Amino acid sequence: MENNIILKALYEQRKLLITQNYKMIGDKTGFSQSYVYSIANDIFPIFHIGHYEDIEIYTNLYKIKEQQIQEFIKYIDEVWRKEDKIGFYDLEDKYGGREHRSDLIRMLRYCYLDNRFSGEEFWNSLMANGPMESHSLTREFDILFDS
Amino acid sequence: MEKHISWIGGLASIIGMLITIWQVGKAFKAKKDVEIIRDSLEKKYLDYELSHLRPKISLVANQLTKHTKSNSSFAQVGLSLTEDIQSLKELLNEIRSNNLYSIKEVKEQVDKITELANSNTVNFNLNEIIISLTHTSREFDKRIKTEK
Repeated sequence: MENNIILKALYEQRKLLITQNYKMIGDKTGFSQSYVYSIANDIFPIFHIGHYEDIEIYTNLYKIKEQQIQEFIKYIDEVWRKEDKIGFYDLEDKYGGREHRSDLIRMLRYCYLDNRFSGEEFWNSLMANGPMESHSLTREFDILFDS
Repeated sequence: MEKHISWIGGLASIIGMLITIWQVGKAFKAKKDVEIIRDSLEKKYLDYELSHLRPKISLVANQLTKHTKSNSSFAQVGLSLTEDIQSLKELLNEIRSNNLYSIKEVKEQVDKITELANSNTVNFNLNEIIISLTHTSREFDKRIKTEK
């Protein structure tokens, strides 16, 4: 029990360190925008496994867990490779409705910031059939708004 | 009387000549000032170009690096090598259409990357392309530092 509390404290400490440093010196921290976004938003940074050794230490502490993002990305990858058009509301229906909107937006934003699923059409299609919140998926990264 | 007039005329010519020499000197100084301003503007423009392209090079190099990593099964999900090579080619075109391309070291690296990017085995040349991109970045950095 005590170990869990210490681990949680370390997780929060690391999150604060990364986001605050990025706020002060930006890209000079050496962290990519997508990594900073994932840490700031408690997303398991699946695209950064192998880049930083501490990612897996905190596996259970991310709010968006490894399995959740894995499944989601696998599905998005399938859609993207087939060049199917999909709207955000379609994803929302598939992943449990409006209460999961925030998680979906955060996972998609993480993908966008990591330059995954390139192509304007894919993102435009998502946003065209989506709520207001989804319209900010492709805006430039801003640590003050994105954390 | 005539002697006085010719003496005054001679003096006026000498004064005229001195004024001309003074004006020539002034013109030379003005020309030098203009050259200094032009050089400083050219330098500022080159610095602008360098600082504009530098992050683009990093972005393309980082994106290509993702294709060379296989740390996890998700490392390459959502990536398209064709599109990333296309971005690389667009970047090379931008550098080529720029004054920077006249820098010997930059030209060498850009030509080398172009050749690698256009080859049929581009996916096997990624590491070499990335190395050349970082060399180009370093050349940019050197240029910014030495010209200040």
